[in-house]
Amino acid sequence: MAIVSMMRLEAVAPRSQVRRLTRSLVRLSCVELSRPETDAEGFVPSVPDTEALREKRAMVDAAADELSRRYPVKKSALAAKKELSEAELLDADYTQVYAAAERIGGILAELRMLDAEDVAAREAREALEPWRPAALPLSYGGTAHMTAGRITFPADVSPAEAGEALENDGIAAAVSEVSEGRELRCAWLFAYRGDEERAWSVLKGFGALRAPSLPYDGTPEEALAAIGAAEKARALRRQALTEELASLASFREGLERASDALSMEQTRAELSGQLLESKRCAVLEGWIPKEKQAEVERALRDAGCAYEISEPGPEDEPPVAFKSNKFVQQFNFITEMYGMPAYNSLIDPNPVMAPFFLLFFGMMMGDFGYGLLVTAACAIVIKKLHPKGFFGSLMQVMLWSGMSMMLWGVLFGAYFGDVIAQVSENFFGKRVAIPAVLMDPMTQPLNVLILSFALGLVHIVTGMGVSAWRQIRRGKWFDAVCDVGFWYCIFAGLVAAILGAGWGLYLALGGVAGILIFGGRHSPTVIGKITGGLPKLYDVTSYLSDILSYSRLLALGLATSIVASVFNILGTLGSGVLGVILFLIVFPVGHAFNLVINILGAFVHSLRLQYIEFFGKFYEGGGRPFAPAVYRTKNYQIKE
Amino acid sequence: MSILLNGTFLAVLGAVLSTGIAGMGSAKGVGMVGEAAAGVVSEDPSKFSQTLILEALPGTQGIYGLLIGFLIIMKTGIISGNPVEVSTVAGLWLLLAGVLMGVVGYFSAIKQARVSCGAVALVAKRPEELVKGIVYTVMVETYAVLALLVAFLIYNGVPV
Repeated sequence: MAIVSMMRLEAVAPRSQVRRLTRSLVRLSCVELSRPETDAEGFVPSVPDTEALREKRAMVDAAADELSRRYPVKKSALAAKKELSEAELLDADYTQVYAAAERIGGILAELRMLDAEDVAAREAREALEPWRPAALPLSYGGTAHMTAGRITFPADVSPAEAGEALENDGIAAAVSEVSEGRELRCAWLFAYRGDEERAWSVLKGFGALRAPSLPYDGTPEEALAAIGAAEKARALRRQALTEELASLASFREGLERASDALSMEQTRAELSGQLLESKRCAVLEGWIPKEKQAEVERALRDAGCAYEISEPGPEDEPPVAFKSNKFVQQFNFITEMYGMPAYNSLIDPNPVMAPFFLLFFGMMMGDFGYGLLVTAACAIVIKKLHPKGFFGSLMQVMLWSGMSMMLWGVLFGAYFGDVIAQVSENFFGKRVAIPAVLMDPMTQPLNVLILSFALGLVHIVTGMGVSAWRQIRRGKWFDAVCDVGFWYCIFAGLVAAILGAGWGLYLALGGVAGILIFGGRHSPTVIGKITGGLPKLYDVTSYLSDILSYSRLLALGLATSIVASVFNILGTLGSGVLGVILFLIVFPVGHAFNLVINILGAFVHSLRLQYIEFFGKFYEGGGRPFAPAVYRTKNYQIKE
Repeated sequence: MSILLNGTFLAVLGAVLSTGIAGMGSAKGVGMVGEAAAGVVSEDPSKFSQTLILEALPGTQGIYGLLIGFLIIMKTGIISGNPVEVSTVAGLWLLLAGVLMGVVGYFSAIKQARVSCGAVALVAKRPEELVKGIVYTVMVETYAVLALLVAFLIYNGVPV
């Protein structure tokens, strides 16, 4: 359980072997490469064509998505991903699949175009309809002496009146109404060419406008017929395309495989982008975990590389990873979420942090019934889905947290709150309750508060112990005694004094003296060395506030118990058959609500206690997480 | 006038203030974060679950207010239909407990929501840093928890 020792890797590979080398390195999943810096002539960064891969994958994904949308296959949400080996995925022949993907893309594009043309046809119909009663060609302009054109009036104006006005003014023009719509009235205007201007000056007063020209030469009937014929042709084409698409539906599985293969190829290409290339060779450098050295060397030799694997030097900043047993490993994500410790900080906090996390989480949710539900749910998810990565670790952590909840539930005597007592009292007349094995937060809150403070003290003391351990490992015995040892004297002395031992006070005072005397030892000036201890003593306020912070263990535990109790009381308000029905409704709904609300709070506050109160005592941050090149697949899981 | 000195009245008033004011704070806070979250998700729907967690965080003060309110009502006995005789002094104490939880719940919920909105913006830019945003938000909740604790201790110690 430690920070993984890293080794520097430097290698030169023949360019012909780059593909084979990068593929085996990604398969090892333990190699992090970064591009070497050099001024040497003839070496240029390799630029793999990841863009082409990305585009291809986007095309394949789009085709696969469309197929699953149109022809959905029943897949249970709890089904695990199918497994294939790396070679099965990468080395398969996908030419047919790619051809199908392209064809599908083409079909979809054409279908979209047909849809757009349908919309345009609809609009054209709407524009043509008002002109249909008149059998004149739409672009008819008139004869040698007469001009003709389509005009529109606002809906509330009568074209007949306009025609009368023209006649009264003696203008040689006539208006012939064609149709009346909701917003406009359409009409044909016929005017003697000489009188056209005068006609328009009158018509303008009626709000008349020239109708917009339409891209059809024939009569409205002819145009509409043409549009109808085109629509029929499009419908036939659409049917043909849809049938072709249906015949390609069997490619969906192949498309999913191709998508994963392309993403694997992309990972490999990105890794090879970290190489410097010359005419005949490629240079790489990076980090590997020490324990994988033999495997990596074998891969390098198989690819005919010259290499050097060395210990990190003093100015190197190796990346940080944790190595732990299978139990603690699931908790690594908690520290990773906070930030990685520095490589030289010697400490993997996870094994110490994990039990405290479980302890506090269980205490804040302490209920046997809830714990049982959580444990069962996580066990089912883990067994059925075999989740990996972040979600997998989360499920494992919650599985153990559920068990901790059950334990604290028994200690606190909470089984879905006090439902047993409430039901027995209100429905059966006699109060039966399972007593708390340790203490009941509802009736003995102060005792639980003291327990919280005590556990908090243990947590803080452990954190300080970790810090002292590190100083001892670094050979600084004296610092360990001064920084941590004297505070231990003070804490132990105070606790002993509270418990009644008189010598406790002397021990505590001894600790205070130690801090006052040695606190300023790092100060450069003599005065500083003497008075430096005083501000160190001020740390007592921060320790005090840290311990008080643990009162949230009681507060959140109470919140869970009391809300559970509220729902139990509400559920048992009724009596008789109606009362039972009420109970059967309120019980699951209320407790589900309580569980969900409080689990988020318990999780977040447990995290906070680790990050602030615990890590604050010893954590040295600033580490860079180890990011080896690893295959990430969406549809299939790669067999180990 | 005598109603103001009635112990049960004062206790129930405390419950009302506790649940009501803390609930107002949580409602306003959760709403603020919801608005920010909707903005982020309109650009990137994949961030829904993360912003939902951040939206839920300021809601706990309302629960704490409910807790204290419910406890106070239980103590007065009106829930079970057998009201207990609550002295004026006891009623005042319960009122104080309720006011404490209500006021601290209100202000801490609003301030926590502002941090949570900042966390939503953080997640919009860097979705991998959700936990840092959550930790920032949860720091504010310490004070609501402390208020809950003291209110509970007062409630516990009131002789009815």
